Amino acid sequence: MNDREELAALTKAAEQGRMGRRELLRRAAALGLSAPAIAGLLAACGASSGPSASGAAPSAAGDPNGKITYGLGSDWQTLDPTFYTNVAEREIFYSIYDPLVDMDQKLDIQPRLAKSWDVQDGGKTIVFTLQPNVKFHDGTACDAAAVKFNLERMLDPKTGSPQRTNIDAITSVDAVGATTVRLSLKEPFTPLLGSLTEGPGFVSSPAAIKAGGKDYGLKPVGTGAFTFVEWLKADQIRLKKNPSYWRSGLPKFADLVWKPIPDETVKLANLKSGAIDVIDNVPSSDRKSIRDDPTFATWDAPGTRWPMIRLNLAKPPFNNKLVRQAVSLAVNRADIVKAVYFGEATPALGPISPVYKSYYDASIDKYGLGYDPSKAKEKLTASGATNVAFTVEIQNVASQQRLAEIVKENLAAIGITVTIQPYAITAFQDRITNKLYQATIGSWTPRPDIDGTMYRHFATDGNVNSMHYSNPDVDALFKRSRTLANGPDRVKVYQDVQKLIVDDAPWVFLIFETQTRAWSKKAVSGIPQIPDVMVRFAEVTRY
Amino acid sequence: MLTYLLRRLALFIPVLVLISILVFSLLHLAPGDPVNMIVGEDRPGPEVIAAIRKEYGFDDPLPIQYLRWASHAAVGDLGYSYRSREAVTQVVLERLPTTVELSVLSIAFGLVLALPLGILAALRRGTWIDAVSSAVAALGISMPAFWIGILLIYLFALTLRWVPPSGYVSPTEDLAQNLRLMVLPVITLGLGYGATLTRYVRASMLESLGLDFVRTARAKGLSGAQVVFGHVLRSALVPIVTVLGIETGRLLGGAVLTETIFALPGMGRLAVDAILSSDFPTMQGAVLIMALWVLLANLVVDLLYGVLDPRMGRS
Repeated sequence: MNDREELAALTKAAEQGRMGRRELLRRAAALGLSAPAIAGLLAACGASSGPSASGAAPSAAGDPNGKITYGLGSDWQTLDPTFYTNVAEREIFYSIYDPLVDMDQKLDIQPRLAKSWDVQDGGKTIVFTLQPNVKFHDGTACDAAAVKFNLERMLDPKTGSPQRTNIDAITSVDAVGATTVRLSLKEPFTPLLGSLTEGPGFVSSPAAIKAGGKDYGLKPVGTGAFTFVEWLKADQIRLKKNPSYWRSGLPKFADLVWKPIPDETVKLANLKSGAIDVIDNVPSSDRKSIRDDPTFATWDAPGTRWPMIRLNLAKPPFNNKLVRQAVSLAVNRADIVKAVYFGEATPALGPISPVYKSYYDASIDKYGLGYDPSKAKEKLTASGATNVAFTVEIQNVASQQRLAEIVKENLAAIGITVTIQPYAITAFQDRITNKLYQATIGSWTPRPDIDGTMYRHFATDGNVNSMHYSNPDVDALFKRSRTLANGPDRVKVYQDVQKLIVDDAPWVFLIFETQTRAWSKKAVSGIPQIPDVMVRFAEVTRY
Repeated sequence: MLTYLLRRLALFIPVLVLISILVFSLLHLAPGDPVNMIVGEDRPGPEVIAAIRKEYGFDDPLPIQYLRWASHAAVGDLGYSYRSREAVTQVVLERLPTTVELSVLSIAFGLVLALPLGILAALRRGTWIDAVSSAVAALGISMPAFWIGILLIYLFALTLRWVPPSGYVSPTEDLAQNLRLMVLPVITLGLGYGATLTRYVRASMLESLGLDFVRTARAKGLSGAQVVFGHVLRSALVPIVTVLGIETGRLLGGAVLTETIFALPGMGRLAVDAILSSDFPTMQGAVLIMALWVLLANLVVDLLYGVLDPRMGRS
């Protein structure tokens, strides 16, 4: 905020009686304001008397000319959905673009650019009917041809899109009419709709892609609630209200600024000082103080990240299922929750996070391999393995180090020796890709459809199954799940899958982490709490 | 003078080539396939990975890859970022001014701190002034930048609310705000630098104070100030300037941390982000420019010798 903006904010605060005289004077003096200017401010402060001066909730209407500044821990490399790989990139897309479909708080698929869809031919064809008369920020039409152009660009292997894997069930895309798109699939593929709520579902202006070439990712053109203004690298991305946004009445404020702030403590200091209005995650150690502070609102999203230990089933000692089970039984997850996550996590006994609502199986306590050292010893003895020792590979970060040390201590108690080996990120990733590890700590975040979390890890041909895990029963169930619509039958299939995986123990399930967004109550309200933890700013109000 | 300068500049070329070979080999021989970082954790199928390998020429032998990169770099084209697909030359040029501003202001801050403290400590050797100077220097040297940075943010941004905690505004857009935002980073980076310098200034002054010409100057009846500023300081400056040059590299290292703490869009943060995402072209570009910077700083130091001590002139 520069001085002018700061003065405007102060004046507004004074008029609305949100700030006491003393505070006002202090801040005005800090800005170096002249005496007459301060007198003016005080008059504004005096003008608002009565109950509102006690810091009551601001008016519901919000400020259509307001600005929201959002601080995030990671930075952007591209604003082209075809090439995106990180969550900060995905999150800003919900402001610049619209996905074909979106999800609601219950993970149900909702219309967006597609106002309806029809699953035909036993699931092998999906016909989308698009919203009519939607225009990109450059004025060109967002029609069936544009959707076809975007999907085909992503599907073409020559494009090199990291997103291709999520939609490669599509064999052809046809623009049947101006607002009708038909997708033909190799086989029924329920997870596709989920994928179209994110990366692959965002629609860019074909004209802008052709004109931009390699540089399109620097000046994105979508249909979203905000248009792109400028990108000051490593400093901020500025967006402004799209005045002709097709969803009427949205967005509710004028300017949206995205700031990458790599240091978590500094990011929090920015929120506390009022320099930014919303932050993407509060460090676990600071959550209590933020929740207890009436100035801030928080949104806790449990189970939106989960660290685990991958075990390599092709190498000893983890080619022995009983050893894997013994390790799982020996890990005290409550210690990890307390010592590494300051209580901001829950123990995990299986791969399905509570974020998946109905898919989460609350009865997992009965069959999960939770902390039970005596049973762990029994399993280890039964396995016939002696002098069990292994190396756990971790990334060079403090939280993984602490986690690994607790595991090491837990396993020492049942006679297993653990060596902790840290690697730099690239080498670490390489050892996973080439399946060189014995055990390695990783983490995962939810994908819109549960298939995106499960299949790629635990199917024999899963693209990130580095554990050499293969169970034909699991594969058969996955295959079936892809043909079933969301509902009790599909839930049942996943609960069966989970039982098999828990018993095979290719991962040591550790914890489900809670992520916490926080914002200043005085500035912002109405952030929709969608389980993917991406903020949709179109619906947010700025005071 | 001009020939001397040209000769020195010409010497840069082999040094830069050597550095570029070193950086290139270190990056490419270290374990880790850049394709992993380009595709992210979703890992597309082998046909996409093959397309990416082909596009970036990862399948060519390393010497071929180096020559391709070096021949372009020689004419100012540092290639394209693996991640953002931008021209690296452009990216580096965008980031350079922030780091230049941070460094220049930090050097200035360091000098403003070190010269008076160091000189006073030398002149009043063994007194409480000397003790205070030593204490300040020890504190400045031993406090890590990330810790000072966070402390300064808590004090000046959260408690006193004099300045915003972090961020950047270009000086061409709003100079006053730019300087306000630079205050904390400059103190963070400049403090350790100034503290180190204080020790050198003190030592160098003490050494000069003991030389014969000082006795002569005093014997000629010059005042204390004339002796100190006209003679001692000038002779003491030669080793100090040498340290200034040597410390340039360390200053850049400190800029990496400082830029990360204060979210400044500079070269240091560019290099860190590039390392974390295995963005080799950006990494190579950033390191090459930083190496050039250190070489130039040392050239300036060499030229300054001539000014400070004409005997060292052009020989």
